[in-house]
Amino acid sequence: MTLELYVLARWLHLLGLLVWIGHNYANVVQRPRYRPVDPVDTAAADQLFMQAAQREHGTFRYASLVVLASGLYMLWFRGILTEALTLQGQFAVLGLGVWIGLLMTANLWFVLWPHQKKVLGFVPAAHAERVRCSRITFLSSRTNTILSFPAVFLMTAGAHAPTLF
Amino acid sequence: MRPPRFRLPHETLGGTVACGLLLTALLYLLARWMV
Repeated sequence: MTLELYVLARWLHLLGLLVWIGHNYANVVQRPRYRPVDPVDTAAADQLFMQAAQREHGTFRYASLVVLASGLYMLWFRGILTEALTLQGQFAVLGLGVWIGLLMTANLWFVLWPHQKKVLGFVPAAHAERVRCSRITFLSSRTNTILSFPAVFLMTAGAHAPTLF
Repeated sequence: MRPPRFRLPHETLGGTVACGLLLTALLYLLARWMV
């Protein structure tokens, strides 16, 4: 049963990663440069668009928690949670990836999300404030794009290519 | 709102990819050194 849980966690880890980082990369392609949010009142904005944007944001935001929980579970299952988090020996590779992943999750939930609440209208805000917040969410999102490069490399290389190190 | 005076590297597609690749290379070397 525990092996089944481990496989389930690995599967969820990859699925969650695809949803979360896939969304991030799609956003990079759609908006290669920053542009301020449109000068519309959120209350008057197209309801369908706003609902879709809110649902989309919720989906990848919670996907990040699935990735985090399944990743930590797998480390715990393999008995290397402490070794990875303390960057010991061969587990330093995976551990560096884990710390970057933690940083990305914290960036998403504690930097991007509080500001995105105003951009998407979860929290009412004046247009100037929404513009200010949209720039912060853009930079926060791109920071996670940058961090995803080494995170994915260290995770996969740490697990599948120990001879590289 | 005035545009920012200068652009940060990750404000463009090329800058984002370049920063990502550079950071990956640096962390690879760091990981090799640690292992």
